[in-house]
Amino acid sequence: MNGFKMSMLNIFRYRKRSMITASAIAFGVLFSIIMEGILIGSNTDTERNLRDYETGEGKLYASGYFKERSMLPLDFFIERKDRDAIETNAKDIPITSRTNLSSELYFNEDFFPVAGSVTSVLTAVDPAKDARVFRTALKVDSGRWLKAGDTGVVIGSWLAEDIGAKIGYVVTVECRGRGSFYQTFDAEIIGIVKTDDPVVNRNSVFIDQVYADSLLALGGAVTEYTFRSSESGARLDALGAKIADGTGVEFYNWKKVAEEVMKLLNGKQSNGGIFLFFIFIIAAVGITNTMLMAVMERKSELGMLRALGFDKAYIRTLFLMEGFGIGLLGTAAGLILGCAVNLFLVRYGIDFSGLFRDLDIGYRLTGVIRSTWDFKSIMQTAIGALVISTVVAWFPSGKILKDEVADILRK
Amino acid sequence: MSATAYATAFAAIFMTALASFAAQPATAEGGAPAVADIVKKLEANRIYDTSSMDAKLAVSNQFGITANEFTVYERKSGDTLVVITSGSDRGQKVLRQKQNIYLYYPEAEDVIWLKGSALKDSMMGSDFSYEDLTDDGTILDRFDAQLLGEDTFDGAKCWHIILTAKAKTETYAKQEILVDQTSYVMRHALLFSAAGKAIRELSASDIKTVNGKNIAFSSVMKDLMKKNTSTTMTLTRVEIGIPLSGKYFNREELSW
Amino acid sequence: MKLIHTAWRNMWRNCGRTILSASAIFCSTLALCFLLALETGFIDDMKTNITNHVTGDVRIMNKKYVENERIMPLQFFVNDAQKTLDVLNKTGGIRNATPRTETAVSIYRNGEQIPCKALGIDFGTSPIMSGPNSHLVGGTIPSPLSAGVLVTPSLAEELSLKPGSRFTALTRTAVSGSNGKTFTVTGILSLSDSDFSGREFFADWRTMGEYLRMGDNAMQIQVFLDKGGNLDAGAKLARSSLEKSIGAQKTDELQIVPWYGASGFYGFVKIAGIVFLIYGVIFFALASTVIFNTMMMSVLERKKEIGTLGALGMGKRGIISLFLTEASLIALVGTLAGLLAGGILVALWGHFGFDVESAYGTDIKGLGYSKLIYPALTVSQYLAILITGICMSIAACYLPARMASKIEPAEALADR
Repeated sequence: MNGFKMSMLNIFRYRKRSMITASAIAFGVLFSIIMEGILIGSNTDTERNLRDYETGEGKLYASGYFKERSMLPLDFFIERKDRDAIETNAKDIPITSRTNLSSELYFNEDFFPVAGSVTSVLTAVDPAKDARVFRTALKVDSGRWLKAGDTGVVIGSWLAEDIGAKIGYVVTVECRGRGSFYQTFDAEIIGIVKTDDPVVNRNSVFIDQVYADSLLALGGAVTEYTFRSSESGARLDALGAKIADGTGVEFYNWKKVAEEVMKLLNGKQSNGGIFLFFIFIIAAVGITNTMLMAVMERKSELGMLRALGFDKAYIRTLFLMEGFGIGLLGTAAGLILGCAVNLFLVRYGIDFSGLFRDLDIGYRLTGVIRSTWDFKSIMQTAIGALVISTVVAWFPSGKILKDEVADILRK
Repeated sequence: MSATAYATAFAAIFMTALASFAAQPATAEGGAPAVADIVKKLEANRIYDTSSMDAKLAVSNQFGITANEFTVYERKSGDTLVVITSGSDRGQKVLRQKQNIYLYYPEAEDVIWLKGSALKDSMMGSDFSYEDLTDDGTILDRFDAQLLGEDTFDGAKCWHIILTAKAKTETYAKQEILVDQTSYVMRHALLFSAAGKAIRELSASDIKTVNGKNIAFSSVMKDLMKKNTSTTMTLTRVEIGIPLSGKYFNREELSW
Repeated sequence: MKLIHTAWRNMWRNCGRTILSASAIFCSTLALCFLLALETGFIDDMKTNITNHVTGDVRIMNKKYVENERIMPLQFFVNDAQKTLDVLNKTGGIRNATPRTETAVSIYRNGEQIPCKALGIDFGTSPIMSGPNSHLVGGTIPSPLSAGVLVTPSLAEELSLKPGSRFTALTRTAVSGSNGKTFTVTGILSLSDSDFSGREFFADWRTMGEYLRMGDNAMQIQVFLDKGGNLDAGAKLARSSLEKSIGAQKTDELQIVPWYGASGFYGFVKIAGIVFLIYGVIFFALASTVIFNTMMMSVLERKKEIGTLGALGMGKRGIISLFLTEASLIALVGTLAGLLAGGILVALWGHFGFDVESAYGTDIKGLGYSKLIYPALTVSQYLAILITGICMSIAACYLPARMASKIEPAEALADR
């Protein structure tokens, strides 16, 4: 009989025991996947939030803008002609244009508890396209996101909290237009967004691009384009170059755009290895247990096999395959469950936001801990589980093979 | 020196400098003069080769009042040097040459050079930017002027003129000014945003004559968006047409 | 008593299996000890960094600054700082009061402005200099009132600074103006605190006060209490001491709070607590599967024996108790062994320190922790692990025990 088949049958002979052992492995795999996901997720969370809410995969700026970008200058624009070229080059990619400028938000007692003003970043967006590139539009906490033609504004949740704003309140915005003339306008707050990025929550005021164009005499120009892509590294740069081709704009990938922030963070790839290690020790112990018992129970059976001429190596292989088989079952179950739970954690995460409010702004995390998909580590976990299950089956089998056949059968 | 101080100072100086140096009587014929004539007289008074003024600035806002004193040297090409002469910022200098601003701090070895977008930076933290230090071109080139009629300010009869900016590069899209009919000094101005909202208000008083020129020695600038903020500038000494050494406007020599 | 005796003897009848179960629990306990100790070490370290480098045990700031924190109004500093420091330092119960002024500046270099943080401290009394996580890497400490500064290693690297180098920094001031000053680097200060891993330089607080036009004052005073002092009481003590010396009106301008009232840190601690509780449950759950397994085997093997016991009159409850007691004893042995090994491990690591970077490095700004953590465990934590271990084992074995109790004596005895 095929050795593999035999091993599989053996596994199901002792169904309960095999199931229990397999579940120990499944547990181990499940939690490893989740923990690695969360650890790597929280490491990459800042980077992910940066990309989801500020940088996308890359930005296109007019020549000269990048150097001055922290000042939000209104001197370097991407004009209509280049805009058309960019949009043509990038027609299959999620891409959107924005204009950012510094502004002062004034509020008085007609609506607000206390009068005052606050400095903020005014961002003119294309409401429909913006939602395809940034997650901001998905994070409306009250009110609604912008629609083309709106004259109201959407503000960040922390900004709203700081000034005591609610939907329907009216603020006066003072800013500079293109050319640097002073402009003021009254705007109703039509939405408040609560994103995973504290910078956005704290400073942002969003307005419809068309309305901004008329207020600020932009002449159809914008200060930046942002796009999303699954590419990275050299391929991303190549993509950026392709989009900028034939125009005067310059492409900067997200790492360059967020240079300052990345410097601040000194982020490091976390190594969840320690957790994995302990989990597998425990799983290994469980498997050893099962194997030892299997061996002890089937002593006579094994003795019989030996007497029939099956050599030591073959019997050992049988056990290894049983170990592997149980490992396979457990790993499969663990993978399925682990991925299911991870899916939930990737999309929704666990919300600790209330407790995180006051932490330093440098880290783009508002308190929702989300997991991530790191297939490399998931594979590592699965393979590790299989290897351990198989290897651990080695030792018990050795014991029985030492005894003489006759002794075994006699017992 | 207080932030708003400088800011206001320069706006004030600009406005005050529009004052007529030579008091010109209204035209002999009956009826109001053409607005272009009024403006030209206002402007003509701004023409001088050199000037040097001492001023006091008091800024008040929700947190209190800060006061400072400074001296301004100006020459025809538009070069301007501001030296802070009292208060904790004493010794600081701001030199403007065309599109470049140079800052000198007594305790710093480097002369700070601001360029590009930094020109729009608030000057020393004030409401006004370094760009406000500069003013080239005549009013009639930059604005369309319209005479609305007459008005009184502080007991003086004034011409009520509306200036509408021709280009978007003008900081204020519209200005409503009251020009004293006797001294051709600007007594009052309302500065508007593009949407037509009055955001700054300037009032000038205490007119004196120096070398035949009429100058308002006291001006008050209010930020109408922020309640309770205002800056008062008082000139204590004005000299016009005096010789000014080139070293005042030389970046290399700022450390004197 | 007899029950325990019997259970104990039963345990050792099948040595191998017992050792296997116990070792599963041993591993879980060990893992848990280590992780809990690490967490405690982490939190202690963060707390040390926050109190030493930022808030002190009790933080004193101008109330108006705290109210307007968003715009960082430099004009709201602690007035009469020197007098306040003198008063506090003479107060019994207060070990040290030291000034601290922090602001954002721009370093001017080749026409570019580079954002940077500047910190004014008293080099003689501030734990930023003397704390366990500070190391003067090269050079000397600046003299009081001089333009000398210490820089962080990363700032030194970025701008190629070494002792003797000079740089000019621009800032806005407390009088709504601006100022620029050239500073001289006298040394490099390395702080094992991820909050100080970027661009930062340290100057004498009086130099900083003058630079920011706030006179001989500071933005904040860090107050350190005598060891073991209660923080709320300490805050009250500081307040009453000040009221007596500088008057109630002036003291009323100040916000005086224990450090956790001035930092979002406590939120993190709560989260960490929950997370590690979950870890504990996971590890013991894993171990439980092993015990369940072994106990099952045991029951199946000892069917005859259980049947005999039943025939002899031992009730269902008695059998369950027997097996649960066995389980508890195994758990006890395993947990105690684990705690012992764990305790030794923790003690060793607590002495030499655990290098976080190489094993498990997550950098979260705002939660400054060092590169070396000293794990530690309290008695109550040990106890908690012990109890959790035993309880989970009992829970895991309940099912097999019940199975055992359901065995009909006649059936069992009739079996081959």
